[in-house]
Amino acid sequence: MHETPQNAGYMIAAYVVTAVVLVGYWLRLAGKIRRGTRD
Amino acid sequence: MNADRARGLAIAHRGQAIAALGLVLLAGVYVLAQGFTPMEVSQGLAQKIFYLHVPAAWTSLLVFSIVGITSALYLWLRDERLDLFAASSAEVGVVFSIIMLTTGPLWAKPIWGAWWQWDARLTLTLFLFFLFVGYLSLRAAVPDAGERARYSAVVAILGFLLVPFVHLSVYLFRTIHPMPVVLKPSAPSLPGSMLRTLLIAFAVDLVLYVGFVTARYGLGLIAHARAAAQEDRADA
Repeated sequence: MHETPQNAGYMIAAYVVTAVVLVGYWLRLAGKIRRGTRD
Repeated sequence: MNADRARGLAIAHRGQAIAALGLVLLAGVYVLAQGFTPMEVSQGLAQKIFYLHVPAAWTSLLVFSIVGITSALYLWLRDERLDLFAASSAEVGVVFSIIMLTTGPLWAKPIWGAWWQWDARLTLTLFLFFLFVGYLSLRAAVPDAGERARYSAVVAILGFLLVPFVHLSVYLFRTIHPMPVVLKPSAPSLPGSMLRTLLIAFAVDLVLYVGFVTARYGLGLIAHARAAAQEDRADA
């Protein structure tokens, strides 16, 4: 019988990286918009 | 605050709100992929990286195509808004490329036993990423707005020409990368529940693209208004 590989760590890393990149970019834009409001 | 700057801020805020909605929807994709999509038996949980990697790849290739087409239109019509939209899209395309190029190796390591292979699909994708990083660097380096728009439009069109080669590389070259399961002439070759999650994830990436590009475009308008105000002060 085929055994399912145990590789959850890679999947978790990919989901974390994706969230960090997208939220990070959103925060970067939000910071620029805030500065644009202040200037 | 002048009218152009106020308009830019309003557009940027609208984009920020759409992108925030996209991030909430992305959390929904995570739940859908983990809790409501079956696990592929031979690859295990690493297969679920597919729901992030493939939509990010589709989105970045679509966005780089939009940048190329918009840049060609700029060279024809010389409308500054097209240049600003192309630049905004290119930045967002690079963001999605970063996701594609990091989640790919995270899938490859447990499945292929190696983080990276210098095969045609991966190498061409990396070149496309470098090309658009170069596009953004070029824009940052050229001070004259007209020259910046013209030079970067040419680079974007060259990048656009690379997009079909990236997609067709799995047919044109001997490659280790999996063949397309959806974007091919025949019917999609994956179970309905997996296809549903994949397409929803792609739709969410498109919402994020619209939000990010709108916010970035608004910020570009603010920068334009600020530069115009500085010129006016210098002339006075």
